[in-house]
Amino acid sequence: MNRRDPSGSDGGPLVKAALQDRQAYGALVRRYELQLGRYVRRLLGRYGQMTEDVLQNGFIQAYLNLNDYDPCRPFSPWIYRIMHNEAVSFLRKQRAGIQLIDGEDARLILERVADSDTPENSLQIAQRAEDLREALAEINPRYRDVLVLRYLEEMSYDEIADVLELPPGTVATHISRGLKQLRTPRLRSWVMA
Amino acid sequence: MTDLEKKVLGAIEQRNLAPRPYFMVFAKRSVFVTLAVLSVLLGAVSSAVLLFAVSDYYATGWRVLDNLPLDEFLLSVPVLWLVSMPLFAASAYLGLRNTRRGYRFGAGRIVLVSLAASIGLGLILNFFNAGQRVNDYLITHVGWYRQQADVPFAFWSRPERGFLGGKADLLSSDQQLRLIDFDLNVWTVDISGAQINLDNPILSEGDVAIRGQVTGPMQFRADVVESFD
Repeated sequence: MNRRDPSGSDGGPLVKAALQDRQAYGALVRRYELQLGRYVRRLLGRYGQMTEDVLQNGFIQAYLNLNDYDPCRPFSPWIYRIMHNEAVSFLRKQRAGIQLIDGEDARLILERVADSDTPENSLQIAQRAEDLREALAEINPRYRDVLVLRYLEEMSYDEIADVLELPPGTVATHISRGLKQLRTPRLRSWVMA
Repeated sequence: MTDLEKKVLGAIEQRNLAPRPYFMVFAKRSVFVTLAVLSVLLGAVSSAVLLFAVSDYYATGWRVLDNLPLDEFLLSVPVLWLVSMPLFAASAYLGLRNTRRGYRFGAGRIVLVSLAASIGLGLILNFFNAGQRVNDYLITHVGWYRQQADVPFAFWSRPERGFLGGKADLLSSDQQLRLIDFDLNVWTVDISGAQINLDNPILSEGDVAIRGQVTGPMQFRADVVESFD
């Protein structure tokens, strides 16, 4: 979680302040706007232009439910969960199916799941990233969600468990099964088992 | 101030929104925690009654656990409690799953832990005769439960008042029946003049209920012989 939250601290004190003063909530919005915006855009796919609306609704929902946040737990997974639910609910209303992630994200995932011993050049990577992008659109959405959180948001199993409200053991299983499903014939030598 | 920050704060201001009060959040959480606790407690009462019912059946019916036929075992367990245990476990699962941290536990683990908690608490309750008390209460007040669960051993254990029950063990040629009652006493019952209301031969009937009168020490004369069920 440090990549997203360089200070190493979480939003707990900001939540406390926001409960006392409405304006203080702005600091929370400012702090999480970029990383959540990126995440929501990834979930929305071709509906990416609606990111700001979804974020706005998500932040309002989070504000209404501030008292539901457990200060003993990190704040990030809590707000991610709200944004995730908001994005899923938006896509459901649009009757949208699985959204393709963009090429850059596919390349990022590929870098993070690739077997380091695999010889590669930029052309191969670009081709494999496209293969991965297609493979991600085919796999079970449950596995896709955990893979995105793990390899794009770089969350720990525990944090993913909090965002998706799953037992950590199930998260580990979903990641392993997701990677297995990604090992299509064209990606077999690239995606580690 | 970013654009999004302005929009969010503007919408909050415009709609005059405020965080839901803590007591509402607490009440919502409490509903699920209470449901889970209640389910485990009711499950504990179920298992206490179950334990009592089984132990009572074998205590009064002299069955030997080592030679236990499955059908008799199932008959000995009040159906209501057998059905209710998984229901309470499922309801404990739903209750716990919806608590703030409940999602971190798998379904199997929650069901197993709530079943174990129910059975553990049931053992303790049974130690204090809670199972018997609940069983007696339901038999007195709930007709359907009485039909399912009440085996009238006590009623047919009153030979001095003309009611004798037990296992038909041996029949001699002169219509003298050896009967082992529910307290394991051996009786000689004269059934020569009795009206026999049985579908099967008396020895294959197993338990029988006999009306008649005591004629001497461990001697009984039967007027009516019926099946015991």
